[in-house]
Amino acid sequence: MDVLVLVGAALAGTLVSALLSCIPALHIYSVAGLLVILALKLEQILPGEIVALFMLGLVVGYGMVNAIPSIFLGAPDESTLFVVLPGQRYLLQERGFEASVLAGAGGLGGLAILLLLSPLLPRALPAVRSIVGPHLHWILAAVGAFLLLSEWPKGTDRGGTRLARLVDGWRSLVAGLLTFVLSGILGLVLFYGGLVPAGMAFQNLLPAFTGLFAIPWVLQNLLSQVKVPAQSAVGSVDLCPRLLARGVGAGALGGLFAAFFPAVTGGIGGFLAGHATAQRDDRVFLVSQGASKLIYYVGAFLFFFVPGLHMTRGGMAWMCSLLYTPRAPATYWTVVAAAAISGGLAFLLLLWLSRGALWLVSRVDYRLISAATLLLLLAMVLALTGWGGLLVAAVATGIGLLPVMWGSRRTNCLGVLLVPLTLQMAGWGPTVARWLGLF
Amino acid sequence: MAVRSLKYASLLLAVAGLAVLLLVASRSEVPAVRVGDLVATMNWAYVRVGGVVSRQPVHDPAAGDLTFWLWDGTGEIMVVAYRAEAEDLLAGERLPVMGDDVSLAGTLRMKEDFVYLVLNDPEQMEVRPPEPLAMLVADLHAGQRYQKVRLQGVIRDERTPYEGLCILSLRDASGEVDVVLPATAAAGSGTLPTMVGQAVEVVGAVDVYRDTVQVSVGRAGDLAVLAEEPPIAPLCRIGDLSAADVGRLVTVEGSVAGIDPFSAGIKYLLADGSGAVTLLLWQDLYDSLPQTARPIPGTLVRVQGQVEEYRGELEIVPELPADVVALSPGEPSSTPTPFATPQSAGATPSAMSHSAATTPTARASAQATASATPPPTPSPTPPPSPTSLPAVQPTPSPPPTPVIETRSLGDINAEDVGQTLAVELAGIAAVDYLSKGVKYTLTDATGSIALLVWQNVLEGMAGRHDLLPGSQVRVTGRIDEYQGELEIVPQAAEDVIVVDRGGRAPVEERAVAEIAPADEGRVLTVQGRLTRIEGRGWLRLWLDDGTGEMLIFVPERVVAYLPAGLGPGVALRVTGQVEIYQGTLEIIPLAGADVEVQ
Repeated sequence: MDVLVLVGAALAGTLVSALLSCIPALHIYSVAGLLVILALKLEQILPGEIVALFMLGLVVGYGMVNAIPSIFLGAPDESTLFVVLPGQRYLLQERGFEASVLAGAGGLGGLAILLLLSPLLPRALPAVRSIVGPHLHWILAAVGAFLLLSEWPKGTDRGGTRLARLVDGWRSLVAGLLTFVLSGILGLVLFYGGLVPAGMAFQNLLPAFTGLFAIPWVLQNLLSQVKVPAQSAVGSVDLCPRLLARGVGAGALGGLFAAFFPAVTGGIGGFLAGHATAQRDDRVFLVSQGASKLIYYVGAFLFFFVPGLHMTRGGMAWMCSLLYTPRAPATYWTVVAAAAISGGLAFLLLLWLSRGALWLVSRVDYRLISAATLLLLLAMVLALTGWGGLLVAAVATGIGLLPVMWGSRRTNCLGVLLVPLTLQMAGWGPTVARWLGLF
Repeated sequence: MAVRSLKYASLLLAVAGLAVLLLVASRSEVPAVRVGDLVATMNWAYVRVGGVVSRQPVHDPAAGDLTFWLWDGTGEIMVVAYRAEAEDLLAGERLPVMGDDVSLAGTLRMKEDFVYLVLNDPEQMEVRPPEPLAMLVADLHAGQRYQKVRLQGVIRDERTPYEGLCILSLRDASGEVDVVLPATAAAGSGTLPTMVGQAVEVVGAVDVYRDTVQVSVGRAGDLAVLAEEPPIAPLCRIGDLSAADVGRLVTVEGSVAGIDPFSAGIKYLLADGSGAVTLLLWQDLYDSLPQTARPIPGTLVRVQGQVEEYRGELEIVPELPADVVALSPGEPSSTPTPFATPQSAGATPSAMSHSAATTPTARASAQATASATPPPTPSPTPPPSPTSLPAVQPTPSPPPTPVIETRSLGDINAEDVGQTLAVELAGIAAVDYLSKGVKYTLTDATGSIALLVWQNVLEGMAGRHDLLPGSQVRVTGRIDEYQGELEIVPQAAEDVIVVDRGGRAPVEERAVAEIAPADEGRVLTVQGRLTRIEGRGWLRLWLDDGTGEMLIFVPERVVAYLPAGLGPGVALRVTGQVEIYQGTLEIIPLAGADVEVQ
């Protein structure tokens, strides 16, 4: 296959993805699901290699540009949960564009790290995988435990009685635990319950993720009274090379961790790396989250092409594996080159689209966008996964609202992946599923 | 709406909704699917499939996984049970074996080129072993694939092409079939008691391997020793034998009327009053006969053997020492040594002149004629006539060509190191690829030896693609010793001749897109243009034939023999064995000559 055609496919994917990423709460994996269905129908005329490179473009574009809805519209996916708070702080300070650029700079830095590592990956990753492989279950369990244990009491300490203060202090902790446990049970139901039609099972996490992350955001926006102040684009950002390096370094640690380990998203990776490297500055935080998110999305997909590794991490790689199997080292280098070019394009698009977002938030009602998004999400869940999927999305929404309403971390919703995968890798998944009456 | 009520509504929705989901999920039927209907969008679906187990289960003790295959009439799918579930299956003795009807539920995992199903809950698997059909070997055919059958017969041969696989030759009155005992049966259910010559009853599934029907046994209990031996060879009068009997196993009784040793064994003339026939004992079989059972002129013997034909003459060829039974001793005056030719046995003069070059396969093309000649009178073997000795030549003559001695493997020992010997017939049991050549382990009934073929010799060897376990070869070579192990080292390509390819499918030319994981082990030829080369001592060539790209892995020992001018764009024709390495199909040429620039 001509390299230029492949790079062209990646650039086309980046362009499409950048535009779609601006739609709040629309995850690129949902779009890729539709692409898979289309590609399977056009299998005879659409080579798998072109689809794979188009998917690369999608993932690069999304990894870079989805900072826009996260910052300007407060719509996080499972990887940008941590961007929202500092991002909205910037937004309320009329500095939304700057936040977007900081996240984009982190993304560019993350991409540079991936490119620098690309010659080493074919040698290092097989060895790392063989060492880590037998220990995945307890590593994932440790990640879950860290998420839970790092919650802290958020009570006001103003209750009238000791009991009231105790309840107030423990409320968010219990809510976090409950969210994690309920999400985990939901994950087990999805893994073993078969509520989504078998013919669309490759999208069985779509309704859960929509309910856990997207719909609560929509509902929160519909109820909120926040008025976004007028924003303006700036010609420079307050970021010195040292802060950029710190942010990218921390983000790279988290992103690589997330890309390598199943069920760990970029947000969690960045969160872990942030703790490990003790980042406090909002700018460093935004840069690190941008880097972590991009390395998570693009790195996981890049690993799929590493010669001889045959590692499938992340939703995009799983979907790509249905259509295409990389067989030659040359494909890997084509993908590395295409990722670099697409990353550059995505950053330029981020700058351009961020200006568009400035215009949008100043002219269109926040709640109107949210309502339209809610309809789009429900329609997509229904179309792809049927009524069973809608039921799952409804229950997931209840679970996703718990952290919003009770003041715990949204990352606890990732129990939906962490719990079933950890149990499965430990060999206990079927046993627990049997306890739940799923078998 | 008050935020407080929303907080509790979310809690209620989460808990009650999840309870409803659990209820719905536990009550809903797992959807049943057919393998042929699976599509990529079903990845991660929890489904039920049913069918017949189409390959014996394989347990990987290192990884802990257990795999078997299921055929449902529309397609075949691999089922994987990971460590905990595999242990459960093995411990509970609920392991399905080939031919069993199975229904199970699991999670589908699909990739572009491969689909498998993960068995999550062994409790959800129903195994229904069908009642086996009692059959004769001759009635088995490929259309009965996966059908459970019950056979009774005698084990005529046992071989182990590689560790973990044991193949028995089972014969009944109608024919002979290979019975495969896979490793899992032995490992999971105790050792299967087998011994050549034993009468057994076998329950197994009909399978087809390289176009040949075989029976695959999955459980140790499916192979039982019989107290009474079923008749496998009818007693015939020698005069009744005809060309139509070629290939049949028969029993004859007669007296030894003549003896003719040749390089690979001994031929006897056997007569019973109705006719005479040649009894052929290959050297290895003769050597394994007890002294008292070795026929001499006049011995009345009962012989069980296959009827064969060589140059128009019928022969009885026993396979096992137990097939030759001396009923009464021969003439006391006859010498026990067989090395004399009965000139009186004029009925079969041509049959009495086997040479070392004759092989069983070469004889298959002989014209069929019956040998119902009057039996010669048994008599002591006359001594060789003095006139038959070569005359002494008074004039100098060129030095005689050294005669290469033919040996069975058990007769080759350390004292032979440095000599050049021939091995008439030996089977390849194992192959080890070395840095400068290939080492084959040869076996025959008497022993084993390493056949060391250096790469320069291998390059010119015509039958090199058939040098694989299961093949039989004739070898001439120098005897060497390396680290205490004897080896025979051919000096020229012609020194190794493949006598029997072991029923292996022939080398076939294929388009790249047509090569599938099921072709692993096959020797195939592909043609296409070289797109890329990489290497570090070894070489990896990527060949594109328009239908797809195939990785050609050239081992380091072969690289020096590759043709010149290899580079991107060059048209190549490559023959080699299909292997799967880390999930990728590749073709590995055995010699540089297998990579031809077009």
